[in-house]
Amino acid sequence: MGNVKWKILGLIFPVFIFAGDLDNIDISLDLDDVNKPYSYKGYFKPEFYYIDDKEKFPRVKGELNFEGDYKKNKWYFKGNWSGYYTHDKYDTSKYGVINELYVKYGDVNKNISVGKELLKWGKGYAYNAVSFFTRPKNPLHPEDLKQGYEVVHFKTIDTSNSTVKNYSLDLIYMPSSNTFNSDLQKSQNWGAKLYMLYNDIDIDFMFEKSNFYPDKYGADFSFNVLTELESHGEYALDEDGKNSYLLGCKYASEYDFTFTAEWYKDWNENKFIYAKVSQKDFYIDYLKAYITGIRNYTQNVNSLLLGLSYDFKNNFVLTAEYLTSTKQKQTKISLSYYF
Amino acid sequence: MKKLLLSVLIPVFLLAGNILEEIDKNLNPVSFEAYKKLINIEPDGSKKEFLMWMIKKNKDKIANLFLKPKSDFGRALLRLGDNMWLYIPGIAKPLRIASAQSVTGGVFNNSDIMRVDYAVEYNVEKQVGDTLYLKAKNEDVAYEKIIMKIDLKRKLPLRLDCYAGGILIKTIEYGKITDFGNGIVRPAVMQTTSPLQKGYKSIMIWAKIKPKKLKDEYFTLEFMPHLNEIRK
Repeated sequence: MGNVKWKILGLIFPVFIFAGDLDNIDISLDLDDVNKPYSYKGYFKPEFYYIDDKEKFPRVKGELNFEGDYKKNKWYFKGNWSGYYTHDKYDTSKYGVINELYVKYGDVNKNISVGKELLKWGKGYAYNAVSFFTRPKNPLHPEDLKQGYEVVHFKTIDTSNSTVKNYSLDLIYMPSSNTFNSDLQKSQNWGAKLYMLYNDIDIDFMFEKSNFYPDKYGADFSFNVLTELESHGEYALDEDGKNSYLLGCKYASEYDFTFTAEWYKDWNENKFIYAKVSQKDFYIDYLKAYITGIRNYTQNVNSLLLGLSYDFKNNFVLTAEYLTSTKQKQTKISLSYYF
Repeated sequence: MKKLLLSVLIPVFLLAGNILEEIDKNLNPVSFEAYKKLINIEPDGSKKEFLMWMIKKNKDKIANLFLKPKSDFGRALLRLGDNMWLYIPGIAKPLRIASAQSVTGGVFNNSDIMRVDYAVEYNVEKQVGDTLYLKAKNEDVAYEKIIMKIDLKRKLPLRLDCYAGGILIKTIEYGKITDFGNGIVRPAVMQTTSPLQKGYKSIMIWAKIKPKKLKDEYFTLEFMPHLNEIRK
């Protein structure tokens, strides 16, 4: 009987709270846990794979990510760390990576940061021709890129009332030695990026100079052709005459249907066509469906990814993906918990 | 006769226009920060809640930072006039988004969450007693027409019927007029329902609205990843 009573109350209570007079709504917000000089977030993501390659076998992967920051006056500290675990019939590995760890001093107009930082240059979703100081993305999962390089980074932002509404300048110094950025060839690298919002068009110009790698020069843009249609592009050229470029567009309907298409060439002369369609609230609320297709038509390699992702509204997100490509087929189920 | 008619109509039009600007002024200080809780309620009573921190400067510069749920922490929205962007940590660049889309799901769309002054987007076509008939200034605006019922004494909105394509697509109600201090007395609650999403409801609760001196540089694409740094 007690259970029945609570069920009845459970049905009535939300109606009472939200269907009644707006003046009855409790407007007190508990902000204690967000009003602190530090913040943190993280997630734990176990993944279960079934690989269908030359052999068929399962694989278990897991990632624990933790990010935190702290601010005091003009000083700002940030760190991001990931721990990975992988196990299949061939191997078991576990390791940790400091994705970012830097200290910044200054204000919005001028600041300097020193440490490991992920720089995000370029307008492309799947690929960036102009991200000179960043590791390459996985075009099927560009959000997986978290690890930056050790750099000294000076940044200035300013605004104006002219056709250039705002602009910013980034200056980068990136050494590579046995101590810093040791996965790169030993070198001294520096560069700059100038950004401006000119007549509602985002434009960047950038370069990288190096005593080992070829010097590179690039530019990118993005603007809205129509309210729902955005266009973007990148072009970069190095001193050896090699180039890399990307041209793309993104359509987003008011019903949260999104279509992204990109055509690009990487620095290894491979040409790609990339397309992704996604739909939020696919048949049921908080279910997202997406399909990503990539064709490398230089090497005749194709990949097709079908995915569903459901947000349980309690910091759990369930994802199921099926990947079929010229090289491999795999099925993945993952459950992310955010804290 | 024409002149007489014009001399009567023009002041009426100007007064109606002024009312909209007064409503904007009463809803928001010129430059301020605030916290917002957004609750999406589904027909079965289940809810999804978001906590956001926002800053607004002048009539059409808004930046919004997601604090909760943790899966959305760090996401940021920026609106400069008709242009809107969404920054998702992990994605390289801020993405351009449309005003009629909804980054949070539910009944509120992006232009409701990142609302610029009504007078920026709408002209008052006419005023009949406590009801204003608003018409969008251009096609990029989320609603082509709004019928706004107002509290004539306080110059605050009470209820908005929002139309697009000639049909009623949303009703927004304001409630719980609250004194936030610093002379800010305004509704603390916005509730929206839509005949197109029967049984769904979204509620926005405002808290800690405080005037704040804000630099223009905070409202730039380049600063979107760093919004949390100035909140502290």
